[in-house]
Amino acid sequence: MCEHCGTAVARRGADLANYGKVAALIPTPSVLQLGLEGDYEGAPPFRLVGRLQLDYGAGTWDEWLMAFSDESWAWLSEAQGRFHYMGQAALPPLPRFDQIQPGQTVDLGPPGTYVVAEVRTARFASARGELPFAVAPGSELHYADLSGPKGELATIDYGTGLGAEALYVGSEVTLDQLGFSALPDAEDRATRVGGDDLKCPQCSGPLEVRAPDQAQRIGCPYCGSLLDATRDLAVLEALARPQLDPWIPLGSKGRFGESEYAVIGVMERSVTVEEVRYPWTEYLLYKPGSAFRWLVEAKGHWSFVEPLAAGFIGDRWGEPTYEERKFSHFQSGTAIVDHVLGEFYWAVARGEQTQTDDYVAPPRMLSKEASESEINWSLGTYVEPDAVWKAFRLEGSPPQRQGVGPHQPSPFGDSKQVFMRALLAVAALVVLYLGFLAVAARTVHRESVRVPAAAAPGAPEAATFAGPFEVPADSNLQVNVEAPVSNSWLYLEGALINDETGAVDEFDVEVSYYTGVDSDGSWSEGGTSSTRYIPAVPAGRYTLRLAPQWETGRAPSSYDVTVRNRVPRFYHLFLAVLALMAWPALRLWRYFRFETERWSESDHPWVESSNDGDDSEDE
Amino acid sequence: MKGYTAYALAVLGLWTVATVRGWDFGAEKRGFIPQNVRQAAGGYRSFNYWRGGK
Repeated sequence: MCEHCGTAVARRGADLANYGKVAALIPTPSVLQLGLEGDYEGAPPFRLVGRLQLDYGAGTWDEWLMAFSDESWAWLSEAQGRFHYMGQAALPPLPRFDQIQPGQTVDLGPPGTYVVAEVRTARFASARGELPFAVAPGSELHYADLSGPKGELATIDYGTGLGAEALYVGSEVTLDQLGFSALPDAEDRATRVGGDDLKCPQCSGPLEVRAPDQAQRIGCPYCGSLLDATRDLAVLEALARPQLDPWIPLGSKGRFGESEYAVIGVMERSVTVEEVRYPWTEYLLYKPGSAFRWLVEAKGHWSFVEPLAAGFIGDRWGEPTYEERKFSHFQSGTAIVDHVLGEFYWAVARGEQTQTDDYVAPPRMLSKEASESEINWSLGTYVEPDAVWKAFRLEGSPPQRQGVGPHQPSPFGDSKQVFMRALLAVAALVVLYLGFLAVAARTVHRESVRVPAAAAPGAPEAATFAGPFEVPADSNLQVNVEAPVSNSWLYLEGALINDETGAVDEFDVEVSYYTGVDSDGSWSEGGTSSTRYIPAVPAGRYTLRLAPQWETGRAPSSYDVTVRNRVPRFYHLFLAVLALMAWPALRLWRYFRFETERWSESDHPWVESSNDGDDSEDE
Repeated sequence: MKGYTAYALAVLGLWTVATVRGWDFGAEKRGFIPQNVRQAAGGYRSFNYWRGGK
């Protein structure tokens, strides 16, 4: 590019071909300039020898040509305050421009498999210095941007045709990494990108432009007009005052993590599902020299959103993964821009539509926004409303949360872990129970008791005694009676008498066993033994008084009595298991209630709402 | 999680103590036979009668 007359000339052997005048550079307050020298990651020293400005219709960006001292070259792409180093790579077989589309994976050979993030045609808007190709100013250049597995980027350059002409592979870099020798210092840079005071041409309202190097569109906060920030604030759309009253005023500054961001733009977007409009508000956060962030509010739920290269997104069973975590599809829809206020780094327009797909893995949400020409992924992290108010030092209270946010962390999120711990506790309890049964339970007395043949059933003379025996420690006693009854019964009125204190615990035991045959076959009922427990028996010397009754004429000759102490009760075990499981069960129930509410507004509700049922009945 | 751990330990502890001590629900009130009754010869339910009836 002739720096004197602005004519583009191309070298054809020894001759120069005239490509006509090049338009003036679009004023972007880049801190770079032609002739700057730098040193990038041990590569040979380089110098910026060319600057190319491309316009994709919704914005402009700069490409700086880096000429290395070994005569190789690379591009340094500058857009939205971010820099990408893009070096030349060997050109593998690649799909034609009319065959490539966003979302497609492409094998780039040695660099790996990349995902197509953007397929566009950009206009050669302006240039300065040297360029490594001969293209007439104003030409339309085709390209595809791709995202690699670890944040790497690639661009397939199709030139003005349909076949791939060059492949560039690189990654995002910082100005410090590029080792420029004469950059303005940080304070100067801040001054260069600082606010300009402008007026809205529609209503003369003062416009405070906070990111003049980035702004493509400005929504006037006074009259609602949408202005083109790249063409001296030309009015693109004159509107009534926007029906948008953001919770966080434009210009507010808030700190998230280590960074402080300014709110430079606010937009309201919505999706409409089954004639119900679901709006949300997005706050564009700006930090000089850094990628834009968003703060998104929907129904009182807040989310801090960062852009994410498509190459970071994996796939597991058809759903996206990020950092080894699978995200579940929540909702898809067509998002529409309803209102805009402040500055935006792209040519936003009211009514702009994108296809959105949201995937959640609380407290994170992956969002995919796709248009015909590009796919953008972003990662949202749930922020507690109070944290937003604190970050921006806002007065009052945040709006009340409605329902459960799509990626709101569940206060019952550890229910599964609690459940697993409960299973461990139950296992420990069963081990204890078996241990008591095997080790602690002792037989303290065993005796075969004769039934007085001459006595009448239940008569005092029939009463017999077992013992005495020692109960070695305070414990329960299990009294087991085994009698050879068959189609008869034996009933015992028992009393455990402490020989020393006279304390009496009364109990009864019935042993009955019946068998027979009927039309259904043989049957039996009862058994030849029965057990009773006497709780909390103090240690001491005891005697058992046993007064038997029996079916007249069918008295068993004798019965066996076995007394054991410290015998664990099975129903105690059952109650303890219930107690151990009640907590996790309640927690699990609350977890399911919470999740049911979360998913109720998704494309995959856990429970169909009653309204749905009513609707179907009406139909 | 910590809350549940404490709760589970409390349940296990209570179960262990109840099993060692032989505690139970709905235990009937313990009665007493006065010493003079136990030692009165010939009377029904007297201690000597029971001993002699063995």
